This record gives sequence, structure tokens and C-alpha cells, in this order.
Amino acid sequence: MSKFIIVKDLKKYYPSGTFFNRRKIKAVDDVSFEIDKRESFGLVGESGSGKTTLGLCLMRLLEPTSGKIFIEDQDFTSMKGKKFKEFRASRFSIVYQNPLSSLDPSWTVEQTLMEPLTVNSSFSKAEARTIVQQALANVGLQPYMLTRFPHELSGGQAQRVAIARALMNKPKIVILDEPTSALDVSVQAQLLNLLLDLQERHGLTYLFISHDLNVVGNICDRIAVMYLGKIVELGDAIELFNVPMHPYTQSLVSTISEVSVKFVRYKLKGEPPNPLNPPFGCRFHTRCPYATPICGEEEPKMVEVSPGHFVACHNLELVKSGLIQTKERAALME
Amino acid sequence: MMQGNPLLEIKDLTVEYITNAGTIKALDRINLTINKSEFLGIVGESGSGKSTLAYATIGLLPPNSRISAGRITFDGKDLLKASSKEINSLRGRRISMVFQDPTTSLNPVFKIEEQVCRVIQQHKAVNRQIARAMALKQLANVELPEANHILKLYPFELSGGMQQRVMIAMSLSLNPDLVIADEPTSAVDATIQFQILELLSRLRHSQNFSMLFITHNIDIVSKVCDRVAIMYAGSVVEEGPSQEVFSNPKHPYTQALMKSIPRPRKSIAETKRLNVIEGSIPDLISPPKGCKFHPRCPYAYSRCQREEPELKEITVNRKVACHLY
Repeated sequence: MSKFIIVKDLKKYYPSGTFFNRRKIKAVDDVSFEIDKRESFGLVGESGSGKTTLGLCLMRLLEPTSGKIFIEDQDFTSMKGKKFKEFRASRFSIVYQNPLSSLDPSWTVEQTLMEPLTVNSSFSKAEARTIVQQALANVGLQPYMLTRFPHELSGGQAQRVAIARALMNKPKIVILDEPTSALDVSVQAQLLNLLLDLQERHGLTYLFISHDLNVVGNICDRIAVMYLGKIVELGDAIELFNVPMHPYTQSLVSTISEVSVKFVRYKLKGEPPNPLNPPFGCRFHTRCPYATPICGEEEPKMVEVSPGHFVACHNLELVKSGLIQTKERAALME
Repeated sequence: MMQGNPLLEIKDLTVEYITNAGTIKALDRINLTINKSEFLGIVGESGSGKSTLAYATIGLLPPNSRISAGRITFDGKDLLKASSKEINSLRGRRISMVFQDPTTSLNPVFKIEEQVCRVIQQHKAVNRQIARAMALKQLANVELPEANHILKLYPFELSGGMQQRVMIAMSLSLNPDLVIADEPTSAVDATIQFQILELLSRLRHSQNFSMLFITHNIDIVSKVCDRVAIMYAGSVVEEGPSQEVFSNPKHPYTQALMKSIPRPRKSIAETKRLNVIEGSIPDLISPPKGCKFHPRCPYAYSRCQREEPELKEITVNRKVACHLY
């Protein structure tokens, strides 16, 4: 094993239902992928696809139901106690979507940034203060911001503070859960550039979770597309956008305007099914324009269609030929 | 197209908010018109005044606001001089609104039937049976399957996309002339957003209404709107047919905004780095003198610091507020 992060058959089931009718929500179901060092790996999907759950499981903020995670060849899933905490604190960090709810409203910026230093290591007050000032400059904020409270910051500034906080313990992997979704376009551009700078400067590996294909397509090297807890397609970002192979990915890419299309563009009908009761077989078959009887019977396996490009679909030949099933076709091709 | 039938005319509208920190000029002499059955998009970032514009038009500004100048004329009637009774009879019937987040704008304790029928019965002297039939027709119109069943549900039993369809059905239930939509698709997923935009373009042909479409998403505007106005710090900086504005932006702010939108890279050689607009939006309590964009503008010269540019027509149908033109 040589990859930086290896995720194998990861599952996360949430209990649901009543005492007499126990059910499970399969939020993440049998997901495997690898991430290289210094790579930006994107997770795309709609709400309920399990992308956030997967991110939280990766750093064990949520305990996976089963499956393995290896970080630098060490079995992260079986670590316990002090070793686990130290290992996680020295490797992982996370930035959430809404900085105004992930920063403590009663703490100043300085207190917020000081906290990780006092928890994880023993610095003197003076040392800690210098480190905090450097951290602030690192994300492009002025020193006078230290005495501000979160409500005195703009959304962009608050997210910069959240990023600075995430980098305090010098992590190697940063999980970015929709880090720019709450921000304006011009602020988003500034922050995405900042994330690139920080990645270069500190050699960071990013797991970038987002529903915004434009953002993910811009910043990520490789992308995994999720649908109802499953990865349906995984591959190089540029290839995924130019030659999407899974019908779901194709429909997602269809929604962004500025893409040169090498496939039949179509719109999805209906909404994602209830995750409590996902369709049998391929989970996408109820909305798929290429669905054939086998899709409702058997779950498709991941196939490597070109080096590093994996797709889980029964009807790849059909998709490649662009022949949408005739009955659907009339409805789709308005 | 511009000299059509103006349905809504906004003239020199200035709106201020009175806060403890000072007076915020949220809208600064706005001039806009919407013609009959035209879709006008308003694009701007937070703090640009786009939502204030919507609320001023429908008469829902918060109490700490003040309309210090200007006029809003709807179908010949001055809305700012109208009595609250007159406004109430217009609102919901001839001007309606779709809000951003359907989960907070639908009442959680009433069934869909109650909410849709109430809008209808508020303005029309019909009994519940007829109102219900109208509601059913409207739900079918927004492509909700099994409308009969949906009427019996509470809002939480519907998905976000379905809730937004219900909101659209409610806003169109009395055949309004103008629909104001404040970020109607930003709370739903990409594929659902696509469906709702399709729905709006289709309904537009069957019901023939005008729309004031407020959003921060440029892609959406270019898909559904005929014309677009770009707002910055309380002013309209550029206006024109949406396709033209986006394919050939004139104002430096519009140009910079277009460039700062991330796009999927087409090759490995392409840089991930985006062109950014340096700095941040100005403080509207004490905005910069002259052009409000000049501290961030790469083309700014001495005149921009002294003199505020007027929104003027530079070619047919294209208006820009910039000293460069």
C-alpha cells in the first residue's frame, strides 16, 4: 500500500424507524476510494447523497458502521484512546459550510484561534500569541481582527478565521464541507484562491465536498459523484466533465451551461427517492433514461472504463451510443 | 422591446435603513422598468440592495426603513401613495411573491389545501369547494403529481423542490401580472433547480406574467430572463438584454464578476486560480465618493473619485453607469 488515504468498503447506516419497525438509512453504502498526498479530491452529489456523512466518517467524527480507513498505511479505523486522538489531531482538520454557526459567537477571533494550541500542545502564552498572529496573516487578515467577535465579521472574513483555526494544528488533510456555499461570488473567488495558496504552502490534501459542480470542477484534481449513498462515478476531474459516463453524472453536467458536450444532454425527471427505501438494484434506475430490466434487479459494480476512471452502470454500451430508451426519449427530448 | 408596455416603473427610488450605527443607503436612485410579460433579472451580491428593491416594490419593507425619494408606478398606479387597503388588494392578486426558502415561507401548522385556498379566498368571493378546485388546477399546472393527495399534506411532508412548486402555485393562483421571485431556486439542488427554471419558462407562456427575478446566480439569469440589471452597492451599474450583457459585459464590475465565477477546467494546463475582485463591498453608511466601485476598479481614474456616473444608454438597449463610456 502506498496511497496516502485508502478507504475500503466504508458503510455508515443510521438507525431509523420505531421499536417494532427498525429500519436503517444507508447514508454511505460500500464506498471505496483512494486519495493521493497533496491532491484535491472532490465529492459531489445532491442533498441526501451521503457526501457529508462520508466526510465526517473519514475523520471519525462519525463512527463508520463497517469498512476500513488507512492513513499513511496505518489502520485508522481500529485506533483507540489516546493514540486515536493524537493521530487524528495531527492529521485531520475540517472547515464547515456556515462560518457564523461553526465559530463560537461569544469568543473573540484570538480566543478561537488560541483554543487548538492549548488543547493539543503546550505553548506559553507569548508563543501562542505569535503563532496566532502568523496564522491570521496566513489567511490574509489584519492583526486588528484578533479582538473582533464573529458577528463583527463579514461572511468571507469569518470563513477565513474558520480556515485559520483548521490549520492551527498543522493538519495534513483538510475536509472542506461546502466551504464557499454561503458566500458571494466575488468572496468565493478570493477564498478558493486562498485555499490554493494554502495547499501549495503547507502541502495539504483536500477532501472537497460540494454540490456546486463549477467549484468542484475548478479546484479538484479527481472527483467522486455520489447518489443515495453510493459512488456512481469516480475519475479525473477534467475527464469526468468532458466524458461523463454515468447517466447521473451526465445529467449533473447537463445543468452547467459552459461545457462542451460529448454526450446526449438530458434533464432528470422527478426527485431523488427516499433514502430510507432506496430502489432495488441500481439506485438510479427509477430516474435513468437508459434503464433496462437488469437495472432493477442487480446492483452494478464499479468498472474501470479508462485508467483511473470508474463507473457503476450496467448499460455503459447503451450510454456510449447515446440511445435513450425510446419510450423515455419522447419525453426527454423536448 | 424596451419601449414596450411598461407594467412596473421604478423612478429615482432611494431607500434608507436607519440603524444605530448610522443611515444605510440601501438603494440609491434606482431607475428600472418591467414591460408586460417580460422577465427582468436583478443580479447582485449581498448588500447590493436587490432584496430591498423587491420588498420596496411589494410594500414589505421593514419598519426601520424609509423611502426617501422616488416613485414606483404599477400599471399606472403610484404604489407609494396608495392606501394600505389598495396595496392589500393588489398584493397577492396582481403582484405576488415567491421567497427564497420554502420551508420557512409555508406555514408549518396548516395543510397545503388550507394555505393555497386561503390565498384564493382572500381575494375572490368563492366558496371552499371552488377554491379547492382552483388550487387543484394550479398544483397540476406546476407539475405536482397526485395534486389531490398533496392538498392533504403538511409542508414538512414535502421535499424542498415540491414545497417550492407549491409556493409557485400559490403565487400564480390568481393570475398575477407581476411575480417577484427572491432567489427562488437557491435552496434546492442542481437538478431540481433546473426543473423549476424550466417550469417557470413554461408557465410564462401559458399564464403570461412578468417577473422580477432576484438572484446572485448569473447562469440562472441568462437561462430565464430577457433583460438583466446588475446592482452594486445600491445602484444599477449595468442593464441590458441578458444574453448581450453576459456575452459582452461593459461595466468593469460586471466584467470582473463574470471572470470570478469558477468553471470546470478544460485541460490540465488550465490554472485553478481565479481572477478575483480585490477588496470587499463598501460600507453603505459612508460609501466611497464618486463611483462606488472605484476603489476596486482596475480602470479607475481621477474623475471616478469625484463624480458619480449616471446610468446612460451607450448603444441600443444597453445602459452602463461608468465614466469609461
